Amino acid sequence: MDEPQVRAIFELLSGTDAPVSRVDAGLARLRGRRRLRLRRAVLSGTPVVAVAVLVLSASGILGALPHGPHGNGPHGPRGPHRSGHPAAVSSPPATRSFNTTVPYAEFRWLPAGVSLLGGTTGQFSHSLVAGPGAHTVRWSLLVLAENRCNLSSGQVLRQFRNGGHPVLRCSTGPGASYVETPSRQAPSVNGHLAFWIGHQLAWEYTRGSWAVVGEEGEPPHPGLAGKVAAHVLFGAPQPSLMFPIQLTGLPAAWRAGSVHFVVDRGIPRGSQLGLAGTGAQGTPQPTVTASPAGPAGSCYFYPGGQSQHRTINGIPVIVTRLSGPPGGQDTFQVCAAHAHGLFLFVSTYGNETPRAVSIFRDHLRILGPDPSRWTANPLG
Amino acid sequence: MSSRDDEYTDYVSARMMSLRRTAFMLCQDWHRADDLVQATITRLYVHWGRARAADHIDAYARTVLVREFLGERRSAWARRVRLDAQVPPAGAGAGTTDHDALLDLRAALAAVPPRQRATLVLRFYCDLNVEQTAQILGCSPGTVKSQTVKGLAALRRALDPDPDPGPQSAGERRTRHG
Repeated sequence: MDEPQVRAIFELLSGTDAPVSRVDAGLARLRGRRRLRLRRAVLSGTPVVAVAVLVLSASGILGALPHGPHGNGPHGPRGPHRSGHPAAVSSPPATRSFNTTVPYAEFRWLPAGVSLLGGTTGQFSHSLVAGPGAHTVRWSLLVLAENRCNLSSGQVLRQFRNGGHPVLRCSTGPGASYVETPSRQAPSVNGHLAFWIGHQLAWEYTRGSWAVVGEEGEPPHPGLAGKVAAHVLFGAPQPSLMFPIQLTGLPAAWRAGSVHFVVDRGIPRGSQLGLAGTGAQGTPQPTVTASPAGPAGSCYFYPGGQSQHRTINGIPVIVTRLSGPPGGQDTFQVCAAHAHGLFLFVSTYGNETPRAVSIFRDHLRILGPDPSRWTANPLG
Repeated sequence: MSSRDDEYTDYVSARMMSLRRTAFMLCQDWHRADDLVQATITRLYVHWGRARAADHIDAYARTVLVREFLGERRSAWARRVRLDAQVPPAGAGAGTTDHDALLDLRAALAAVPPRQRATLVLRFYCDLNVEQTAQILGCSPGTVKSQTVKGLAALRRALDPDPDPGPQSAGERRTRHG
């Protein structure tokens, strides 16, 4: 093998057609701006501690958004509010933890052409994203449970009045936090003190509980943020997320720790389920991802013997074991590009049992892509 | 959009194809290539001030891309699944190229250790000299030379795992793929 031969190989490979690009410069700008905001917050005085920062986790959600058309969903009207006045929104009772299969908050008003795209529901934080298209997030909402943040709105205001620079630090879950620096007081939201964090509007929607509405993109519309915020409804009865799979027979302590969901044909479909209560410390949650299968496969096959083709319960899958870093945990994955109309992906970490293969083989009920067969109870 | 965003968008739009191709050469997987490029242009946005002040923006972007590739962590997010429909592999079934040979070449390249592969891609696909390659990889020119030799050897082994002892074997193999 010499230089001309290698060049010939590259030339041959580069002569093949590239598939349609999934790269999105708009998304890169959006994520980049978030990182810059975070960096500014840290540089402005936040002690650098070893925390993972959850930044209105649209980045994760975006990866799970479908290409297909999306409807308004069962979340009420999405168009401009006809009266132009905020609906009367009363303060909900404070809650220390959320149900992970029912979104706690709802956008009751969004600008014309913008609709709910999806969100993430965790035990201590829920987030929603909305936009004009499946890959264009324009609005995001982060809602935190009671006592997750270091400051009350009154304390933030007092620090401003004393010439201080308050830093809002909120724990959104194990090892994850939301850290931002309010820049100034904003018009109150339904009578609650509110503050600007860049283009985001943060307010204490009920005692000890914060919410943050953020607008992405340029130019921002500060007036709209107040209106969107004023129409967020907290704790109202909402439809459950619906799941195209169900896990049965898992250890009793296992529960839905977090869910990514997308609005699919008007239904909030749980697309990725993170399992908590597994007893494993310091390892990522096992996850099960399910979405309608695409026209072609989309599973990685890792080289070097890490992946194997197998058939489990009659379904062709790729089983992968990835070695962790030195002293770290191995990862076990099962990926099925086409499993009765669904794309399925199960991953577990370290010594947790059951492992991915066992979950896929023994504990997974595949309900399929037809919404009429979906369940609100992902752990049967 | 701000002028910063305009500049950035113009640059990324113009260089997207080149970045994707280079990423594909590095990882031999279009899905992963797109993820690499997505991560690269996100970092590029964050450091746009530094990037546009660089002598050569392309070199800066390539550096970010290669370091993303080499430093790709095996985190849950890094391994996050792709929910998009995958376009069939390039050229599959087109009948215009020897598809099996292409797959062989891709597999062989994928078998070369990442750092050596990056060296080969930078030197022989991106056409960079030893010094430029060293700058991107953050190593000495001597290391680039040794990585090149090792990479070529690894590629040779991957293409010809059970070589005949004679000097003809490499040529024959090349003919088969060519």
